[in-house]
Amino acid sequence: MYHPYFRGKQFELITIRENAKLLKSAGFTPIIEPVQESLSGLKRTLDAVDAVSGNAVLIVNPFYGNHSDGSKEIEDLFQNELKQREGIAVGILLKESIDVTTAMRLFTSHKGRRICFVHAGFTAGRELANQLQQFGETAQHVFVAEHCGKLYRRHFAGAHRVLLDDGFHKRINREHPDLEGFSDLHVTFREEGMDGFGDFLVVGDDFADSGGPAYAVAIHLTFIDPDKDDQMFIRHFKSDRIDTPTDPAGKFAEALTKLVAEINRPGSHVQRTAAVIEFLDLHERRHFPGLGYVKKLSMSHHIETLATYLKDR
Amino acid sequence: MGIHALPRVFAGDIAIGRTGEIVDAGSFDRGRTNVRNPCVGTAAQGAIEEESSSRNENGGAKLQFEATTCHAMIPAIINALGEPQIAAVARFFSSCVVREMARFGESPLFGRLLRDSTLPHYLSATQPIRNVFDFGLKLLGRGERRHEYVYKAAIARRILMGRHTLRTAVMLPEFRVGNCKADIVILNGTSAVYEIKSERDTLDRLQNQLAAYQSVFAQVNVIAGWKHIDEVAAIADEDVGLLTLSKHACISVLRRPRENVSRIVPSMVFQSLPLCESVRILRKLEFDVPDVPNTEIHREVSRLFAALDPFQLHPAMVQVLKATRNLAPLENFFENLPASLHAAVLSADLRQADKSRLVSAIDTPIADAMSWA
Repeated sequence: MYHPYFRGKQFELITIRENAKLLKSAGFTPIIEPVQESLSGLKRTLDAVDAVSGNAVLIVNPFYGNHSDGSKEIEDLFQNELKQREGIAVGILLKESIDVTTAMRLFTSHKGRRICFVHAGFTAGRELANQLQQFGETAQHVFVAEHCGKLYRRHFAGAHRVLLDDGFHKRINREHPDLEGFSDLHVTFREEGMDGFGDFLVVGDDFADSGGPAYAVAIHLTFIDPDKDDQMFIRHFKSDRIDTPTDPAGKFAEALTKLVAEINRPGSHVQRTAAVIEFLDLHERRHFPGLGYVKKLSMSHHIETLATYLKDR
Repeated sequence: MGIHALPRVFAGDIAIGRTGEIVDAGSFDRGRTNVRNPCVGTAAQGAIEEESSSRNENGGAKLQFEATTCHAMIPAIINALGEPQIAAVARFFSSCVVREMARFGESPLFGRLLRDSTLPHYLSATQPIRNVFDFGLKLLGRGERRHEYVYKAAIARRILMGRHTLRTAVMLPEFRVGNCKADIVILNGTSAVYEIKSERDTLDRLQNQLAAYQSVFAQVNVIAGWKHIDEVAAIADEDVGLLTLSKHACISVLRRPRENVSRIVPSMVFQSLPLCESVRILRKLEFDVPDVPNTEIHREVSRLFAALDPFQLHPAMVQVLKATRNLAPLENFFENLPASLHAAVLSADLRQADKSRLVSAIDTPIADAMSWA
């Protein structure tokens, strides 16, 4: 149902690993685009997914990062370690630069496995749909909303379809508003004719391998507002100091103080997830665990929030 | 003149400058530059003792001939190269090229730049690219509009490794002070910053830069192209050292810097250093750094720094930075690199495992390096 899209950096992989059980019990399927040279973190994550008989999609032709120019290592992974693991589907990323022949070659070379096309800029949708039909094979289709209109999605009617919308607006940290809309797809995906939905969590779709020094520290927390038809919103808690590249730990404490005030505000809709409880503990101990760890907590909170919301629906 | 009209020369035949050579202003050929220089009077007394050119050559430079015929080729090649080709040569020395070669043993960027530079037309395809780097730096050092890297390389070579050694001195490339980035900082017994104003730079930010550097380092120098020297002298305080580069990329000291520790502002030093180095400085000065949660260390250390005396702080800062940024492990590595690449490598911050890969990469023949692209 929910398909969070992860660029497989260190803390994204850890997030999946630590939430493997929750992802499985909620029926969520993480999509992983590997971007790091070393595959050991990725393998451990896939082990964790497998250990709970969970599902995941692993992109075999990643666009960003170290595997983008040829994904021999990922191919090998599917031929060897992942051979028996049916929970891990083959993801084929369809960007502008790929053609139908290449897409179909990737598709046929993984015949017999679950295949998931991720449509993200590809334009020959009709041609691909026709060729797939001739094969009589079924595949799952994930559409990145920014690139795929209703007409495009229509070519794949009848298949299992997922709509992925990037609710996170990437900006310099200090330019984030305190509060803004995130997404309503978790409520409306069926009205869109879809079988599932997804997002790029609280990281966003654009990829940066490394950032410069952060002038402002921001913590992002999503919540669902029952007073606004269950739409999802996101709060950005920013540090007070935003004009020097120094003291990330002290700035984190400033942002965290604002987060804690929101959690303790009567009427706050932010759910007390395991991640939020950890934020409260960090505040208590006045401890900064590092920016990667903070991102992990934000992502875990987002997943748990959606899991709780969708449990009874 | 068409580029193909020039005969091919072997880059190794182009003489590599004498290392360790620092030329005083008196030996600079002022007659030809037509620049009236107000600083020359003081320069004569301030000139650093000229080191003998009989000094041993650095082991990295393997081919050293005084091949005057090939020297004579350089102006002709420069004339044949346009601005885009020269720009490509300048980018040979970008940290991106160094990192790619060190990481992957080859650099697609270098392959492209090599092609764009048109230098392979003049060089035999079998020689290693280490010669291309040395040759490229020689080209960049000529002409009216020299690149910043020529200055950086000259400081690394003539001061860091000429006047000092990698065992006794430390170089910090691109050290951030406030909103400014100091081009080169060298620490030996004291701290000295070198701001580069090449023929391609403007002096717009110089005044702010100098004020920022004076609040952190004891000695401040500007090394500038001739055309800037009068203006730099007008902008800079009297204790700022003035240097220039001769036509042969030797450093001429026009005015020695005067050490001024009293201007150092401890809170500026604190803001310019990573927290862990500030903590080490405090420990060296036998302060008790309080054991507080990590979100509060910055505030505590900042408070302690604000109360320091510059004369107490400065020697401790030099000692700590020399220990944390020690360059002695680079010594053997540098012997296997072309001298022209030393400054680029100092800026690249390589991992141990990458170093041997870089050394083998620079022995790649030109023809093979072309195919990296």
